[in-house]
Amino acid sequence: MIISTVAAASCDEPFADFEETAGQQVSASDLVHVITHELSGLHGGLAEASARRLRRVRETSRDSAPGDSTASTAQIMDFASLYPQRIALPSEARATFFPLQEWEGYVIRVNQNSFTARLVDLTAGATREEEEADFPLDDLSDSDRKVIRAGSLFRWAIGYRRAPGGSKERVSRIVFRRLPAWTRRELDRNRQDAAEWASSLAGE
Amino acid sequence: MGQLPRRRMNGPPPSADQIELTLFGPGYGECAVVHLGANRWLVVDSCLDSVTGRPAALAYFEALGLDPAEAIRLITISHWHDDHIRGVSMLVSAAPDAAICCSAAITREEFLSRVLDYSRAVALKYSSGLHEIAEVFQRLRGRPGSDRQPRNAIANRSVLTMAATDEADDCVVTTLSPCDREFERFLGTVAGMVPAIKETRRRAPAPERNHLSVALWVKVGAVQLLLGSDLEECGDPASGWSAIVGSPERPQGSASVFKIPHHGSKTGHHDGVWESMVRRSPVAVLSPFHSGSVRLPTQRDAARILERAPESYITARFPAGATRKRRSAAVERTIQETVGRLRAAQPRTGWVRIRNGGRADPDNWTVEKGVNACALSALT
Repeated sequence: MIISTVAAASCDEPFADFEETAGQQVSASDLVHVITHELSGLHGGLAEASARRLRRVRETSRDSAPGDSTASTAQIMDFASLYPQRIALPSEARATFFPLQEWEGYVIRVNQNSFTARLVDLTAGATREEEEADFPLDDLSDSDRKVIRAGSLFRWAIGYRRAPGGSKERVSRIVFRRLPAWTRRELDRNRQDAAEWASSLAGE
Repeated sequence: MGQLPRRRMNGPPPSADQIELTLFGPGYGECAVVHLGANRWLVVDSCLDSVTGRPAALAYFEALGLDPAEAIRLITISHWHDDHIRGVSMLVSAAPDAAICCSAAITREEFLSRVLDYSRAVALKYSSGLHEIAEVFQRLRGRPGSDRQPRNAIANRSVLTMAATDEADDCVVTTLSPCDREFERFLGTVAGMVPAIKETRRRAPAPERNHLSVALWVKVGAVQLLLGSDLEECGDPASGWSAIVGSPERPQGSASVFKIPHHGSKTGHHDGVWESMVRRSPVAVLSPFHSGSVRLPTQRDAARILERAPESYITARFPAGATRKRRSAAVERTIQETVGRLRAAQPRTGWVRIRNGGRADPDNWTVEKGVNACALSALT
């Protein structure tokens, strides 16, 4: 199985767990194990969406190799479409990233050539450290530039990247969270709950 | 009017007959704590202490040796901006018997739908205004019977009335806003917040207008305070400060203490407020605001306020400037290469306490300032 992974930050997990991997071969059962492990870290609709993807993977695995959950399958999967949130894979040789500093950020305003963001220092420990900065839009990938708007969430990490050969470079990485889209079902559910909340707060 | 040197926040609480307004403001947040007499307190909004991360009001009660569950009678949520509401859910939890006051517009189904859309969409390291609202209403729904019902803030409505005691005067807290027009306008803007199906989830957009803000008139015996929240003026006689000044039904009198609206901005200013609602040369207090290129109050704002109220104070020195935090050389180099510099989003939390001389000397106000606070004249 050839998997291309997309490194994306989730709310509670350190950036160091996210690693870019290309051409990694894993079995379907490895994939199932990883997704199952990560579901516990997701919230609400995210967990629901990922559970649907997990069921598709399991069904695919069963169909490909009935009765043998550990058999490798010669499937080419676009993993980013299956599980766009996050993946941590067992692996041998790969580049690794060691963060020195991390922020969670959200976009306050998109300007002509930059965007202004508020940053929450995730390495500040018990103290609250909030900062602001203007980031050049040119530093973003084309795909990020398409999705960025006020309220967009991202993770900014500064650290060292060590290549398999041992070389080391200082990097700054901005990763916009590719959160799932709102669905009609959850918006409808929120509307129903809101009606119940409004009645409850009105003393009805 | 007496002034004392800068001091620590703890110390003796006010005596039973003393009236007090303490304003907290780290520069992206504001909270007003008002002693109404006989250990009965009003808390307006909430902000988090920049060092401890706790609600400033709770830290204050702890410093005074008071139990918030006993002390707080009313918590007012003046509007749902991030900078006015952080930690308010913790406040509500700490004072389970306190009444909650907010605009009826934010308990409407249309707005609650947006609250749930955005608060359920994404978990954030630090909460947004809508996350806090969701938490507050969740807690209220857990209360028994009528205790769960917020008191609706509308123009000229008394939301708290307390009888006099042997030790303290009677007290009335009146909401001066929002007016009907702003109520309807707000519901119109809520329609624009509806997420689109298949739109990527994101943090809720910041509201553009403050006209739903709840301004308060506090009367304790013969003493009156005007708490201006973030209410702005746009020249429409039927909304903002014009609607309040022009209302024949509003409480009459002149406030001795004035919490300046909207961080001292020119859009929070209305001549009629100074001329007909506030006494000549009141004690005035405000908190600064700094986000991106917006910095309030400007020097011109400060000069305008000082003309009306020479005794004006601000809770934190301003601007915040570069970030205080120093990081490793490698991180600092990378920050420099990427964004140039980081700005501290807020200066350290500051406070200004204004306390009168009780029944014996109600017009003698003593002002105490925290380390970061200063006289507004220092900014000009």
